[in-house]
Parts: sequence; structure tokens; C-alpha cells
Amino acid sequence: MSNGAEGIYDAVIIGAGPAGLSAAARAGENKLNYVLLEKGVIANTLDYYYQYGKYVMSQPISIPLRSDLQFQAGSREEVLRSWNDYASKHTIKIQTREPANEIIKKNGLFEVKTPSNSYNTRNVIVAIGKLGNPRKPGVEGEDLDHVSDRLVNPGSYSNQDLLVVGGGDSAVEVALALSENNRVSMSYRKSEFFRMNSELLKQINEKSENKQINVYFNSNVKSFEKGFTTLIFPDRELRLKTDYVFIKIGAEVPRPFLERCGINFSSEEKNALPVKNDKYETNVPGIYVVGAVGGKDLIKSALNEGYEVIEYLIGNEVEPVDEPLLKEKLLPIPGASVNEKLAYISSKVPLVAKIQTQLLREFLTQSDIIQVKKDDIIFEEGDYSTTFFSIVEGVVQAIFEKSPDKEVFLRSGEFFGEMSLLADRRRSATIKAINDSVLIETPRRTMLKLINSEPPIKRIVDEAFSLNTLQASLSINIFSYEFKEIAPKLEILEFKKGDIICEEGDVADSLFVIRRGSVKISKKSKDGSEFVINYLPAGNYFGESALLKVDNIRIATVSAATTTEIVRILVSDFIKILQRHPELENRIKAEMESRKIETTSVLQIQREDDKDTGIIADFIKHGVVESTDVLIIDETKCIRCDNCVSACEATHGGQTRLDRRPGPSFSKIHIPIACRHCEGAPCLQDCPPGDAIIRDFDGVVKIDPDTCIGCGNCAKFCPYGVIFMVGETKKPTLLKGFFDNAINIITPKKSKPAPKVKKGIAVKCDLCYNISGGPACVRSCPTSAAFRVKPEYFKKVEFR
Amino acid sequence: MYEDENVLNYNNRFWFKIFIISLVLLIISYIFYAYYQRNPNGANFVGLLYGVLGLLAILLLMYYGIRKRTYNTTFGTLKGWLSFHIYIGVLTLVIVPMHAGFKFGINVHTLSFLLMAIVVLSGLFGTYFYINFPVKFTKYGKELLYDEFDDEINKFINQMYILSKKKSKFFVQKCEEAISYGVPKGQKAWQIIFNIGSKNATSESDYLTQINKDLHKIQESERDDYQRLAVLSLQKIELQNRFLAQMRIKNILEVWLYIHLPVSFAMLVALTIHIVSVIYYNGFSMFIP
Repeated sequence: MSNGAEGIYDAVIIGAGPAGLSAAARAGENKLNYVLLEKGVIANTLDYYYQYGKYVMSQPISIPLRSDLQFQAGSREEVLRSWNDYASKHTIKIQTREPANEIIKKNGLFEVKTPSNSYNTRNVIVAIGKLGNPRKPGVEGEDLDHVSDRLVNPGSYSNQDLLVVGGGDSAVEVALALSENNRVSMSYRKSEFFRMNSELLKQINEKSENKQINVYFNSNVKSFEKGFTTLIFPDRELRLKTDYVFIKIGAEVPRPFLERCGINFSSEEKNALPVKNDKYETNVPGIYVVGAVGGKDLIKSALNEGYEVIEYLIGNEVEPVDEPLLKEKLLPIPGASVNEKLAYISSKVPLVAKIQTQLLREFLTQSDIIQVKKDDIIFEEGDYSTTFFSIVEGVVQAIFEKSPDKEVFLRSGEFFGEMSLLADRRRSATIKAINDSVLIETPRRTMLKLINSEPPIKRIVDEAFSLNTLQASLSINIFSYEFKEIAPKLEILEFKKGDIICEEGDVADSLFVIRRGSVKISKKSKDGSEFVINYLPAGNYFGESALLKVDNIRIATVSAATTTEIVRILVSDFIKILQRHPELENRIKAEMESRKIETTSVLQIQREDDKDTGIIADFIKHGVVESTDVLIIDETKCIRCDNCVSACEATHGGQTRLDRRPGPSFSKIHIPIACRHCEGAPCLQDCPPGDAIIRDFDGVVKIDPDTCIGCGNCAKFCPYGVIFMVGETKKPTLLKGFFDNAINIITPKKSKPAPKVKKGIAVKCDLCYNISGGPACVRSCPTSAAFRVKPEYFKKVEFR
Repeated sequence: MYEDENVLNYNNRFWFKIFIISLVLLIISYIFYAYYQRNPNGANFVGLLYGVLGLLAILLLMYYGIRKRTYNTTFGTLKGWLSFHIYIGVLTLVIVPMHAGFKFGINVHTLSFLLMAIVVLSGLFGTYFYINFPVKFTKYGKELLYDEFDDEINKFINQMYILSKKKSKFFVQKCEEAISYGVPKGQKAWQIIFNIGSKNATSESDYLTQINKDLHKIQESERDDYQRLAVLSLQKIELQNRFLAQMRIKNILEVWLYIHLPVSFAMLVALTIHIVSVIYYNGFSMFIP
């Protein structure tokens, strides 16, 4: 083996994960004398711990890749293949199955020792990652064959007693994957699941309630033995039958190894990271840490760091990877350099003033800086856009259709768009620029991420959201000093569908404003049955009539029609508001009068055959009121010919997005299984690629077949089952009867061939946005039974 | 909320108005034609005009089948086409005899007219069904899916079996009877349509009388379960009858097409023979006035 001029390497790179490989590739390009040491094989973690076919993501999308290695989101196999190809094609000097055991410093050089060799080098790049070093419980029997720290193929277990140790996301994922065909138990040392992905939490709670998975909280493993595991609780022990055990208690930076090399850690805490400077160099000059071991656990960042560390090593200056992007984006912002511009934004926009530079950079790369001219309309009331705006410079005005004389001005440092952002409703006001302004427009997903990771930002946006909801629903101007007085006592309550918010007959002590979701208002009739008298979407208030009455008794029951957030205002604060805004009392009283009239008229038209529920109740019950464009079938006209389904199939590459027969039927109408394009659409909440399922500006919720990775999240979230996961494109079903076929054969193929559906993705109704004439289902109904309605329709539902 | 629009009054009765106007014009024209041409028949110029008109109408009527399956087009609305299809279809019953001068014989020409008449009449039945039967359907509740129906019925039968476990022979026998109660004998589509077979299916009231008759024969200890069995059985019969009624309506909504479509193609064949043979024997000279 040639060890360079004096047998000394320029760099020894430890770990052939993304960071190490990328560093080796860069070193090779720069003709450095290096060697890459790997305890397993190339991309060992990916190879060993990822399940077969698992989708590898390439977050963050907005940051460019800077590496000699290729990397694209794709299956585990594709990624592995591309890296292995690179390594063999460019002859990366790699020693696999050779773990580095020790780094010894001597004479200004380092000696890296492996079981079979030792390497003298000027620099050491530690890229050993984190996941490759799974935590172990440290108990008897953990090295037995049936105890494993990974799950390769869930399909290879069936009808077994399995135990998953741990309570994090990956432990729950493993348990869920196995629970279909096995008896699964979980052992977790805490008393409940913490900080878990909300969808996973929902699933695990459901399965543990149904006893499909037994979760043993507050338990630790005492020992493993063949066929059994002993769990220890604070007050007892339990010997559990277990055929296989999966330990998923996380991974950690191999701290002892690094500390032996003399590397300092930032603190004594378990999650502490090695101390390093901007150039990835540790307190030991010549030792660098990159990738997950240094804190960046995204593959793309690790690849970039591997590239950068070699550039620093050979003395090149590397500007941050997002620098060119930011430079271009921040053009409208004054300042000479990107850093000056960032400082300027921090000084102007208090919302982002306190966040770390790195986070701000990320935030800005994902946002757009927009310049608007005087009198430009930024968005209009009723638009479906959901981005969030912060004002860097300039003044804008909010205009409300309902109350045109209301004047709200927003100035530099303030923000708007939080109503649509947090409630996923249409824009509640038109925003017009008063003079030339510079705004930051942030996509919904980025903003939500920021809000959820930075509590102070969440508090500020939350408060503004409550204040604006209050102002909009009560149609008054609440000044900030007034709001400060009542803000601490405001409560934000969350209700699930069906939860009762206040009950008929209760004594009232507060006013409620709906800030997200919707509620139904119902009363009891004389015979004790419940009927719904009204439905209120977000932006409305209720509970005021009891406050203005003498006896303060609630006259109706209000319950959540969907997941709903309510701002609760105590009666004392409400009175304060009333005193400041005397006009409000009169208006509320007038409104109460009109509501009373509405109520009585609704009561009179309660249908005879169905006393306890009216059509409104049915619309609410089946979520139809939440829809923005829903397909309804008039059952008195439907001849059950399924031409609507055939039309959908024919216009969508042989894959229907409409199933006519299932779905609720009431009052002689039928709501088939087809997307309703709901407001507050649950399907949008967790799309891993971010934008595969979106609501476009017309309000249509659609899925981009090129971006969709087929994870099925949206389909899982949809309460109405309208998102179909498709395998291969279905052949058009055989039409019934020979003559139908004959007609089919002679049918001229006038229509252009519909795009073929890719394998393994989610599809749903797209309202036939790409064909003229509107949705094919409605157009292909021969008897006018199928029609689509918009929300305005439900306000004037006639009773029959 | 529901507009009272249907295939007959679509677009302010547009096609109905066209139908009436055309009918009046046709009748007036025929009166003149019959007056001046003492012997109206298909072989003179005016008669042929009626023939060409009829052919045009038939081709447009048959185009409906294609239009219905052309999902991307905005060439009219499907509802409009169906409305047109119905009214103009009826009109052919007038145009074609006018073409023949109301002369019929035993030949391929009359055969094509007869076939056409069958198509039109079956179509009229279809129209009647389309307008009236969906409303009848709603009486039988939500449309049952085959799978759902299967599951539900199996649930009832399972529960009945569970009830009959460790019971007296008589109870078991009654349970077996209950399971097969009300299953219609004839299950072919036409039998369901004409209610054959389901007539001897037990109605709920019949079954109730029988239950009461047998109640005293049941041991005291098994009476409670027997009543439970009766409830299950009644629910099962109700579900069966509902499913049957829905099937019947669905079959009716479809059955007329089994005449309408094949006969229309047969008519097309006969019509082609009629046209070819007439031109073959008479030449094109008859088209000259």
C-alpha cells in the first residue's frame, strides 16, 4: 500500500456514510492522498437499518446539493446503487469492514488504528454518523439472536409474540408495521408517548385501545431469554412471552470514542454534540466532525458538509450553500452583503428577530421576497391562498367586504395571512398596498414548521390570530391596549368532532369565538329528541344570548362539527368590550332577534318523517358543509347507470376517482365517494414531499403525480375515503353486454389519450381542471341527477 | 333544492317544442303531398325526402350511444342529447310511414319499420322507467352494495346459529326454517322483475303469525331465545325484501335496453338492406323530381 511521500496521508476519513463518501469524493477530485475507513459497507446505516424499498427523502428541498455524489429522493435501493456506482467508477479509496478503533496524536500527526492496520495522517475527518450506533438497554441477554435493533421485512413475521422496546417514532412505526399479523407488545419507560408525530400517535392510541398492541408504560427490560422477556415495573415484574424482540430506543453519538480522541462536547447532556467551529474543526486541530455526528442528520446536509470540509482543508473559502440563493432572493432588501440584509430583516421584523441565523436563512430560502406597488392587491377576500406575509417595509390596508368602513392598517414589522394559515379557510379580507412595500411571503408549510419549533413565534401569531378573529367576528376595532388587558385571560380550547362546547340549560359565563373548524347548534324538542338549528363556521361567535339574558341560562347546545378551536372570553371581559363598544350590544341584540326568527322557521319545517334530524344535521354529520365543491346525486333522478363513474375513469387514464354507490344517503340525496375539496382539508396536513397534495388558487385540492411518493398519508387523513391509492393502471372494466362493446369499438377515439397513472401513488378528484366544460361526472349524467354545489348553496338549502 | 328538471322538460321543454312544431309541419306537408300526389309512396321525390329525413333522424338517434361514451366533448350536453333522442325518436314513428305513404307489406322494407317501432316503443318504456323508478327506489332506503348485503345477512345467520346451539330439536328446526325463510325461489333477473318466486317469499306479517303459533310449542326455558330468533329473522326478511326490491328496480331500469339496443342494430341491418336493394332495383333516377 502506498502511503504517500512519507507514508503520511493528507486525510483519513472515518465512516462511509453520506458525509464521508462526499468528503472522499471531493478529496479524490482534489488529488488528496486520503483513505476512507468503514466498519461495514458503503452507506452502512442505509443498507442495514432501512427497510427494503423504504423511500429516502431529500429534504430540505430548497437547499441545493453541493457534492460530487448524486443524490435524489428515491427508494433505498436506488440511492445505494447510485453511490456504489460512484465509488467504483471513481475508485474511491475505501477500506470496508475496517473500523477505526483509536486516534492517537503524536508529533503533530495522527495515527488512526484499525484492527489490521494503522494510518498516519495530517487530518482526520470523523463522519461516523449517529444511527449506526444504536443505544442498547444494557441488560442480560441483549445479544441473543432473537433480539434485534432493526426490522428488515415486516412480512416475514406472522402469528408471533413480538415485543418492541422503546416509545419513539421509529419504535411505534415498527410496532404498527408488525401489528397486522402478530401479537405485538411495547415496553416504554415513560408514562405516555411524548413528542410524537400526531398521526402515529393517533394510530398507536387506536390500536392500544383495541388491544391490538399492548403497551406497557413505566416499564424497563430486566432481561431477555429465549422465548421470554422480563419487564420490570416500579411495583412489579412481568415475564412476557416473546418470540422476537426489537429494540428501538434511539441512537447516540459514540461519545466515548470521540472523547478518547480529546474532542470536547458542548455539555454533559445526553444529546450534547461535539464542539466545532464554522469550518467543522474540533477543539483538536486537525480533527473535523461532519454529518450526523456533528448535528446535521439530513442526508443532503451531510453530503454538503463532506464537500465543504475538504474545501476548508485545502484552504479554500466556501460560502454557505444557500448564499447564492439568498443573494438573489434578498435583492430588494437594502444592505451590501447577505449578512447585512439578514440583520436588516431581523431589525425590521420582530417576529423573526430572535431566531438563530441558520434558521432565518432556512426560513428565507423557503420564502419569497415580494415587492408590491402602491394600490396593488396582494390577495382578495375569498381567495384560497394560504401563504403568510410579513411586512419588511411599507404599509398595507385590510379591507372587509362585510364592513367597508372598517379601516385596518398594517405597517412594517407586522404580519398578515395568519387566519388562512392557521384555519385553512379562505382569505378573510382583501389586502391592498397603501404605498410601495416589501413583503416576505412564506409558504404555509414552512411557517407552520417555524411556529411549531419556536414557542415565542407561536405565541405572537396565536395572539394575533385570536385578536383578528375577535375583531372580524364582532366587527369591531379592538385597540392593542384593550386587547392587552383581556389577552391573558383568553383561553384557547380545542374540541374534537362531536365534543360538546356548552350545553342547553347550563349557566353561561363566557362568550365563544370560533377561530378554526365549525360548530353545530342544537336544541332539544319537547319529546327529548335533539335537532340541529344552525351551523356556524370559523369566524363566528356564539353564546352571547345567554350573557345578555337575565338568567344567564344557555338556550341551546353547541358541539364541534369538526376539529375546532374556540377562543373563550370570560363574561367580565366581554362586558369590558361592550362598555367600550356600545354599538356592539345593539347589533348583537338585533342579530339575536333575527336568529330567533330563523330558529322558529327551521323548527316549523322539520320534516315529519324524520323528526330528530333535519337536513342541516345530515349535512353537518357527513361533513358536507365543510366542502367547497361537492358532488351530490339526486336519488329521485339517478338511474344507477354509473355513467358518471365511467366518465371519471375515461378522463383519468382508466382510474376512477369516484365511487358512486358507497357514501351517505339522506333526504333523497346521495353523497358519493368523491373529493369534496373541504375547507380545512385534513389531507393537506402531512405530505412528506411537501407539495404533492395542494390546494390551488381555485380551491381545488389536487395531487401532483410526479411529486407524490405514494406514502398514503393524505388517504389516511381523509375522513371520507376519497383518495385512492392506485397500483397499476386498471384496464377499463368490461362493459356489460355485447352490444355495448360493439358501440365501444366503433366509438371514434376523438378524445386525446388521458395521461397514464404512475404506479403506487395517490389519486383523487381534480374537478377535471384540464378539460373544458367542467367535471366529466356531472356532464355525463343523462338525467340531471348529478350536480356539484359550492358552500354558498348550503346557506339557502330549502327544506322539502 | 332539487330542480324539477328531467329528460322531458330539459332546457324549458326545448325539444318538446321542436317536436310539436316538427309534427305540425310534417302533418301539413303530408296533407298537401297526399292531395297532389294521389298515390303517395316511397319511390317519388317527396316520398324520398321523407325517407332521407327519417334516415338522418335514425343516424342522429344512434349517435346518442356514441355521444354517451364520449366523455371529453362539450358538444351539447348529454341531457340535451337524451331529450333530443326521446322526442325525435318518437317523431320517426310518423316520418317513416309518411315516407312509405302508409303502405305496408310483407317485405324487408316493412320489417325495418317494424323493428324501428319496437326500438321506439322500448325506448318509451325506458323513458317511463327513468322518470318514475328512481323515485320508487328511494322508498327502499340507501342503495345496498352486494358486499354489504352479504355481510349483513351472514351476520344475522351467524347470530341465529349461535342462538340454536345446545337447544332442543324443535328449536333447531325452527332456526333452520328461519334461515331459509323468505329466500326467493327464482333468482334470475326476469323472475325478480316480475316478482316470480319472491311471491312465495314470506312477508313479515305471515312470519309473525307463524311465530306466535309455534311459541307455545317451545320449552319455557327457550322462549326468550326464541323471541330473539324471531326478531333476527324478521330483520333478515326485511333486509332480503329491501334488497330484492332494489334489485327489481335496478333490473327494470336496465332490462328495456336488452330490447332497445339489439333491435336497433337489427333495424340498422334491415334498413341497410332496404336502402341498397331499393337503389339497386330502381337506380338513382328516382331522386330526380
